[in-house]
Amino acid sequence: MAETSSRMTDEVGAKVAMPQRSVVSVDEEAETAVNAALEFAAQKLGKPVNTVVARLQEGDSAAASYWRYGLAKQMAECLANWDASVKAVYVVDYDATPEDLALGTATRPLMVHLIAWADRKTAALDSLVAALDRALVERVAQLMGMDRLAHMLDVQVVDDEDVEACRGYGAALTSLHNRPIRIWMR
Amino acid sequence: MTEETIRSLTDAHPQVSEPPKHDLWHTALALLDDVAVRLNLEPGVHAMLRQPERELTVAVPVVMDDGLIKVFTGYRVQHCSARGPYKGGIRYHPNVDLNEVRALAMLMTWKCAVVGIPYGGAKGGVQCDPSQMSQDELQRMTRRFTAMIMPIIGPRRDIPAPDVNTNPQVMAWMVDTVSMLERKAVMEIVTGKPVSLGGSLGRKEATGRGVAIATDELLKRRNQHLSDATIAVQGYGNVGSVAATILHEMGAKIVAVSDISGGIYNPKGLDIAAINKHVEAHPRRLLEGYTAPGVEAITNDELLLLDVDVLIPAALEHQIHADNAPFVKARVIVEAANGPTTPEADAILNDRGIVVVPDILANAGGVVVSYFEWVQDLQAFFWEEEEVNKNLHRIMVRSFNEVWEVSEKEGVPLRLAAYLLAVSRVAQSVRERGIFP
Repeated sequence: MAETSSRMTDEVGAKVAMPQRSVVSVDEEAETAVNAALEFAAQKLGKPVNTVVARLQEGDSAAASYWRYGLAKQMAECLANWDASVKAVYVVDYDATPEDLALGTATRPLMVHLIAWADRKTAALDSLVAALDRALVERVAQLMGMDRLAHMLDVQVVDDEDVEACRGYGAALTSLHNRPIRIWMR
Repeated sequence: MTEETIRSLTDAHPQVSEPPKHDLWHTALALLDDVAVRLNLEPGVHAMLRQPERELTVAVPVVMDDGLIKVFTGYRVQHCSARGPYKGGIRYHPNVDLNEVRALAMLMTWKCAVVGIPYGGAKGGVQCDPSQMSQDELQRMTRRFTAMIMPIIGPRRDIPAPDVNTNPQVMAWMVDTVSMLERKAVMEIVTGKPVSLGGSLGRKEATGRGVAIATDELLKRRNQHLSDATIAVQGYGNVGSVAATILHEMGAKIVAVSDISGGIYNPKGLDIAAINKHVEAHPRRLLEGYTAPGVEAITNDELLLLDVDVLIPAALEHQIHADNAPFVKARVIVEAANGPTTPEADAILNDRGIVVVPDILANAGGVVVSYFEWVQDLQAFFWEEEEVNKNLHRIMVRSFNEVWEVSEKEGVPLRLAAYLLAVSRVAQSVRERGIFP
């Protein structure tokens, strides 16, 4: 019965559009997150925010790295605040081998890739991610003058079974070769 | 109960969400033990290979930007020098620990031995979160760590390289630190340097190129020409994209590729040149948004189950596991990534007659060209890219032949054959050198 009602909740979550107040809040979250990420990158680089923006536009890898981390932290807190089932959030980037990631050109310079470990995967969490992504795309496109952004946020949700069985992105959390960094934990 | 109270109670139990701890070192030992039994290795030699030759733990004090001193912990584990100086990467990560570094050092010994380059294995790291550190803090930490491990590294002792969260800039700082302390240029102290500081041409493409060579060699063994082969590549980063591009140039039909944004599929073959152009122009260097006649969108999971001749996982670990291995339709898998196949999946694929070229061989192109970088630095004479690629090709083909012969002779899968070859080579070197004094 609990499983059925949980499934029904998930299905309902998938069908119900985000309430107006949440849409506004998601936009505010995105604005706050982008500003915080820029401040973080500026602090780490020891440069003013407008220099950081310029460097991001140029594809500077150090600026992009700090930006991604700053935004990842903000998004992690946001996910956790909005969804109590989120237990931990990791930031991830990878290539086939760590050395090749280091030697490759700066891939995905602005987009943030997270692994969210949740009690269970739900459509509601997917909807939240999609809404945050849309809000971020709009804000970043505005800020950076980029018109080709389709996504800014990629969140792979894993549950206890995925982590225990080392399956899919769940395997990444215990990776020998390239473990993601945990940036938030409940 | 207020939210604050609940949060403080939760914070009092910080270990609530921890992934299971896998004993990585004992997994590496179990692999060696299995191979040692099969080789009938002498107990003394076996015991020597089980234990790293040297392990160094260092304190790395750093003055942070706020003026406070923070002390990080660094490691360098040197597994085996029977075949030459140690070689292995340095990683910066909050979870670096001795067990992980030991396991990786041992795996590096086997990897170097499989491709016949004159190195033993090593690995190192510093427990830190580099994303939280400024460039100046990272530089100070790198320089102090380098100074702390200097007694045991050197162009003829131990040659570090980039790994998780380190990069050519970190290698450049290491070169400078050693050069300043030794009062002479020591460019050959590390590999993975910028080309301007003695890095090798062709290194960036080397792993992907090696994967392409391994794929071609395997298909030849199966009496199949590349131009008749359909290939799917999971992961379009540095390695996957280069492997796809080179295989395409060699005449193969790449029918599917994917990255973190998803995948694309065309059974008649993809226009890799157009895809590369799209990725280059994309703000985040992704496949998303690429369209062309006949191309349909697929997921990463769907790509793994496509009916193709060759599947090249070039992304994360453990993508092929017990749940999806029974449904993989590829006739051959070439492991561009580290550990893309779980041990359980490996057994299933083997039972199903699907040939797997193991990561230790397939993605060794990178370490081969790292070796070339070291050789060029020692000579202070640098090769054209064509020469680098020619020598890489020669070594990868030779290594593939050698592993294939062991596999055929012993009647074992290529993965086991590679480890049998590697361990036997290291053991032979141990025997020939004898035991000092």
